[in-house]
Amino acid sequence: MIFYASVIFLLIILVEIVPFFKEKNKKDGIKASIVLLFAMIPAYLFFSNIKVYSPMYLMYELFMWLGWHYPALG
Amino acid sequence: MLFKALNRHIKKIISSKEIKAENEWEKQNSCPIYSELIGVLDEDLNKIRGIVGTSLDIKVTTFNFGENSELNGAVIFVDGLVNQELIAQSILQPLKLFKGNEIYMPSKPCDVVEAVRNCVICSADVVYEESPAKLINAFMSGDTVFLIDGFKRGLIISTRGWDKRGVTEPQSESVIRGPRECFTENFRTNTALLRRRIKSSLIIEHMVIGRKSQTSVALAYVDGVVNPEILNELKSQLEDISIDALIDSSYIQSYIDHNPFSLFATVNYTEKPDVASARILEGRIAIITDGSPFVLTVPMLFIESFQTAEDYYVRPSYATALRILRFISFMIAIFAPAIYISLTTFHQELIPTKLLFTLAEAKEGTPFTAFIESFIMVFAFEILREAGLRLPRPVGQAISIVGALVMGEAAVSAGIVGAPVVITVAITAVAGFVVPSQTDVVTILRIISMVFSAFLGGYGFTLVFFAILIDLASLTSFGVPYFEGLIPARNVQDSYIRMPIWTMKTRPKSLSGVDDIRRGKTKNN
Amino acid sequence: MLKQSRTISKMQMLFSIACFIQASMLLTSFFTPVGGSSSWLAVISSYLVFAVFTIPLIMLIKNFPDKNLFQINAIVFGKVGGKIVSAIYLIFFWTLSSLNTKDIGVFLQQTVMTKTPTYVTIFFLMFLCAWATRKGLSVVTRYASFFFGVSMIIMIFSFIFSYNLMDFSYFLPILDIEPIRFIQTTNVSLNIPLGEIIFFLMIHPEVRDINKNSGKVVYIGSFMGMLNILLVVIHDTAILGEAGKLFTIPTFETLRMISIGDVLSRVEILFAIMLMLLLFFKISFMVYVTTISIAEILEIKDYRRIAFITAALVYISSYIQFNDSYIHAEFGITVAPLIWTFIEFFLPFLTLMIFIVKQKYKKGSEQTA
Repeated sequence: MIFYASVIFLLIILVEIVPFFKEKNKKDGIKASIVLLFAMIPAYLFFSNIKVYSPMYLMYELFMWLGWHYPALG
Repeated sequence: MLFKALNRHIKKIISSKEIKAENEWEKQNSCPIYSELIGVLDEDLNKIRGIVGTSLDIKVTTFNFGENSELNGAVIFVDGLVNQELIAQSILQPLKLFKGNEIYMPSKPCDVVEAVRNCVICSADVVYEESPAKLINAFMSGDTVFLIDGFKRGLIISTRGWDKRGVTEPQSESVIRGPRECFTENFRTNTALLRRRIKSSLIIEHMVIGRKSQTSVALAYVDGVVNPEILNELKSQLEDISIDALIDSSYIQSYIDHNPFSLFATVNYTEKPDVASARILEGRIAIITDGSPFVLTVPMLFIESFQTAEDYYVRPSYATALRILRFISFMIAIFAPAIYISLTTFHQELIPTKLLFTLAEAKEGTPFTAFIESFIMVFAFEILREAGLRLPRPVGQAISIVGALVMGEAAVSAGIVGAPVVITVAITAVAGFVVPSQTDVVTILRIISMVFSAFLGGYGFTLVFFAILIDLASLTSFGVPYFEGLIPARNVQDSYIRMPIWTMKTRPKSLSGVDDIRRGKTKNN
Repeated sequence: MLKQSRTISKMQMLFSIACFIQASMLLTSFFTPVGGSSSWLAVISSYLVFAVFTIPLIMLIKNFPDKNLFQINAIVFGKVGGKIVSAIYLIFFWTLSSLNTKDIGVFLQQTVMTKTPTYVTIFFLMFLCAWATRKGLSVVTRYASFFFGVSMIIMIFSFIFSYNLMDFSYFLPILDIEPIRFIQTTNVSLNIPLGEIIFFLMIHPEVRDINKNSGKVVYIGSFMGMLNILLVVIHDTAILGEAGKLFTIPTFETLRMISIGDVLSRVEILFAIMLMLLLFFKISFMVYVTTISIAEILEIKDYRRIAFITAALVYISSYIQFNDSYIHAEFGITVAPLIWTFIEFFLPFLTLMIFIVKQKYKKGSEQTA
């Protein structure tokens, strides 16, 4: 999976990130790269079987802990 | 994106080459020494011969005329492009009889050309011309040029008359009911065919495209009905065409098609004058090209492929049924093999049990997978179709019979493919011809959807369907969304269904200009 | 080259809303187990609550016809405050996109593509969504009416065909559940299909003349979508009754039961096609909105340029959101209604209130000056 993900990310970098730098639009290029990192890091962690927690999951745990929720189905 | 980059790159290369070619063309044609006639017949004729070369078909005939044969004249024409009888009757015969007693006065030598034009030549279409380039262009186009010794201007007399095909029945858009006329290769015949149908406010603008071919191209539209923005855009695009020869209207099509890498064409064509005039009356512009029996019409909407001339000549209910049938056929033509592949490979549970047994029985003993089987059959069919089209008609028919009947039957009985595949491909092939203008698109999409359904089953061809939708929705033809008319909106009288003619009160809004009311009371009364 | 205008018509927006809400019919399984035979009543009551709760959204559209939600936030909350509020929305948009993506993946694996891993199925879908996003809003929304029409026809047909299987006594006794359960069902139904129209606040500046009749567009569109959800809920309850709780996609099971003579069977494939159409629309729209949200918050000039990056983000996060589908379902019933209500209704309401107070304060200070 890591191999396929790498190929896809490489393609995305070629298609979307490189043109920014080609046009010397460095600012947007860096911003777009940051967004891509947000996708890449979790992807590699996930495919390496390391647990990643999403913001919504953490919210869920927090709300459950606080007891702010509707009753579960049981 | 890749296509766009490629397109940009190609355009760059082409534009640099075009500039070079244009410079060379200007060099060849700018002839500073011969920008006007000299006035001495022999010298003028020599100059012209020097430019046009010693072609056998260009005839230059010199002769004397006048009371005492004191005037020298010459007619220049291209053999085969002119009506020689007409030249003899309307130019040569009157000139021989011309005595010039009353008109010819030696003190006023300039009057001879005018006198000949006014009193001698028997033709309604005679014009003066001083520019040698235009005179050459004229006789190259089939007119006759008449020069008189001592004068710096000549006459262009319309004597066009070459062998041409008559107005016949259309080959690609045949009808049971409705006009059976068809455009021809002759430019004038085509403009006349349109003029006969729209007598008021039809404007036919003329332009010449092609550095070497000098092909006549006409834009036909109805003033007020056409959208001026689209018209100006089209004109500027046509003016920008830099090409040496325009052999057929499809050359123009490839220049004005905004989406060259999309599968779907955004410029439509027809060979029926009634269809062309109906489209013109909806606000479209027709492009007539000399030498081509196909008239282009822009802007094109996707729905046009499903509308035929006959839809408007038969009863609305029948027309609606036919139209729906066409949509279904279009879908079958693209997706039937893909559905077969996905059903037999991925979703066997969706097949009714009895049919499943039959299919399994037919499949038993055949060595290939459903995809390979279908692919072989589709491929074989495409070969047969191509062969049948290109061969002389009687042989072509034989090929179809041998191909379709004998080979299909033999392939099944030899156990190479199963009978269900043959049936599927046969129905696909026939359905593909229901929408003739999309046959090429259908062929490619069929193979793509087959590949996807071989990998992803039903989901695969649904993905192809989405991709087609995205492509269709993003296409525009001269700024008009290609999908217009297919999305349920207020103008539904003429899309999936065909309502009675009197319900179509307004022209399609996206196409037409100011005058958008076509039936019932207009804004003026 | 003549270019078509980027704006869409109000009609397109109306059908987009309808199609968008209707696409959530797969998610009825979130609340039908809670509401049981009274779910249909909860759907109706949720629409009534929605009608009231949407007023701030419509007011925002009317007050800011040419500003999207993030631009409104920047005006109302100031530069930094606006960014923070917008970031909340962005996480919400992103989460919902990935959750819906996950849903279609699970749906495909359960019904159509049982042996193919979801990595593959979703990959192609995300590619198409990113491609559509790159082509622009008019492409994303153009076929909404077509999808809506097709799914409506399929739904009505399946309703008619399965009429003989229906047993309306399943609806009795009416409201035989605890009040808290009814409120919970109403809340889930309010948030999951209906409240998601907050997405449209990101695109309303692209709709022609949206300041006129915007309420009508929102209400009619959402009503059309809700009607379909209601139809599905009634259909499922009438056929399966309490047994509906056992299935993850009850409608699919009900349609599987349709068999009219030997002629018509396996109608559920039609339903699968319909759901794929609708979810494709919904996800491509969500990816579009997420893309423009990221571009807006990071101030990237052309959103089209990051479409594939956003799609990758949504694709990856659809696997990470909830590792366990049981937790996903639990989250949808217990916690999500509260968080969603805050984001979908309370935040816009707050925005509107602050805007009104600011306006009044401004007027007051002008008068005193």
